[in-house]
Amino acid sequence: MSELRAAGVSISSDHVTLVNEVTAVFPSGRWTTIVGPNGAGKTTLVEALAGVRSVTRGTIFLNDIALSSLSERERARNIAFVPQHPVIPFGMSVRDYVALGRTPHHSLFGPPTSADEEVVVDVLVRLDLLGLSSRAMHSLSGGERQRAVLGRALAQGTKIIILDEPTTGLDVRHQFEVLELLRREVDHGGVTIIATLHDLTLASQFAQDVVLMDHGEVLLSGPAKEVIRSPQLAESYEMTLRVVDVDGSDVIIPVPRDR
Amino acid sequence: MTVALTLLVIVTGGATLIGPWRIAPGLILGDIASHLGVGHSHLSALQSSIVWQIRAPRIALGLVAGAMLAVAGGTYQGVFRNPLADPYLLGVAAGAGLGATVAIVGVGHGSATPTWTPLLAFAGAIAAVSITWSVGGRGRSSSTATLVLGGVAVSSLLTSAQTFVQQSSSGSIARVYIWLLGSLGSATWSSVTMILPYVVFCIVVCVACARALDVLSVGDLESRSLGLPVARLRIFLIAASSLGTAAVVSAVGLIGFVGIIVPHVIRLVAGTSYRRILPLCVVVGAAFLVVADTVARTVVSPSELPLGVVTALVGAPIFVLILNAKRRSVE
Repeated sequence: MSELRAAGVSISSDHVTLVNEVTAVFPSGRWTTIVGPNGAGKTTLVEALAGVRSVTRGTIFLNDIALSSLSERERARNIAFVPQHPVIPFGMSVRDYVALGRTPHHSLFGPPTSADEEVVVDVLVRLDLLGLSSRAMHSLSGGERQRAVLGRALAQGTKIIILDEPTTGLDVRHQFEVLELLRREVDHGGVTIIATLHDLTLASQFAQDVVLMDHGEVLLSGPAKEVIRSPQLAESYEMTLRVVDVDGSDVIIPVPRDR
Repeated sequence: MTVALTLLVIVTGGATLIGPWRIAPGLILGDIASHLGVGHSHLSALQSSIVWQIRAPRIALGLVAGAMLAVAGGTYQGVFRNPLADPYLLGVAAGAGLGATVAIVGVGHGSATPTWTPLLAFAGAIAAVSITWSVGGRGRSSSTATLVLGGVAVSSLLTSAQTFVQQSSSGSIARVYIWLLGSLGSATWSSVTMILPYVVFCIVVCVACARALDVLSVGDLESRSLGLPVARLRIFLIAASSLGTAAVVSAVGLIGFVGIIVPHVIRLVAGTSYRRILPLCVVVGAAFLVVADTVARTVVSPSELPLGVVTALVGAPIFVLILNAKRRSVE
């Protein structure tokens, strides 16, 4: 089991409240997508859920244990995090980059064990990165680079993966490629995914649950099909949202209100 | 690595054979061989003491100082994720200089250099790097420019404080002044043994953390998500490299640019992983400073150039090149 739970979490920075009294459950083995307009506090919340940002009030629980009570390494063995704009170290090879995911598993001073190496090779194979493994990260295309970034997260071997806008800057095919790859981890690996996404159609197609945030607060959460049809969602974006069924999956078409 | 080690041996050997007082290389080699138990030495007592009491400690000090300055530079670059970080640019050396001057002038009364000089120099170095970091390196808006500017400001402030202390004690002005310009000329075996424990400790610590520095290259947020205790690691490594730098500064004065030239040349050849850069810094840094010192003591022989002048002459243009390349990659 690997469940994350936010209990009355508030986060402020420079006296501005970015996240206000958020209580939400991210159930084990499911994909939860956080949606909401720009500035809703999504990034701040996922950073806190990933344990890389401290909360001002409230507690985040990992399986009923306060996240802040875990050591950095313990936390990193349970939760992987992919920010919206990962820092790509100049000159680092794909293989070395993916191997960074093993950091919480081996000694900081010693080399990775052969077990670590096996995990890295396994991830490279699964993500079709083997042919790129000696290429420098900065020389890859956007799609290849994002796959390598996911590779690092998968190599971390965690039961929870948190992603902030994982489809940023990718074309449609690569957006699907990335999300399908993550979906496989949920379906076959029992991994819990928490992701923010701007594209409501993608959010409804890939997530099982959707959480709607606005002004730092959670307005609504529940099964994807229900949340995307709620008037509150359209209200947050100040748009009319048409939900169209195309071959069994929902497609959301935003329409400006004054038309 | 093999290439670098070979280079180091050649450089060290070469430097032993060269000097303003001409001694036939064959005689020196014979003398070294006799110390190893092969053959007999034909060196006179005077020649022998020139080689063993003047040249050898000077080269040893050069090796130790060069290795430490290069490793400290490489470590600062990793810790701050900033290619222009260097003990001198960050004000660390100026702080160490102030600390050492206080030790020599104030407490040592201008006579001998107290053995705990490195500790006072360390206090100055840590104070300097903390101020620089808090002025120019923190927060999301921090950049190369703000960090370097912070370092410049802190350096100027501490250098003026150092000058004040130095001028207020007329008895030791000359000694402090010569020391400040950076020279291995006053090297003795005792100055080598004074700084060696600090330097060995600091180099071992920094090289052991090379892998952590590689992780840190993905930035604070992501390295935290990978389980790296970022804040503790940063403080620990800054303390270690500042301690080593302070020890070196207290023995040889201010020798700039080693910490910036050496790691960058290594990056060009061996790539960007600190697991390669830092061990190579030990070897290449040592070789570089011995070569620079050999140049310093021979080009205007029998007079000497300050060593800091030679390293700056090579270093400043390289610094400009790096700044240029960095600017292009940012734009």
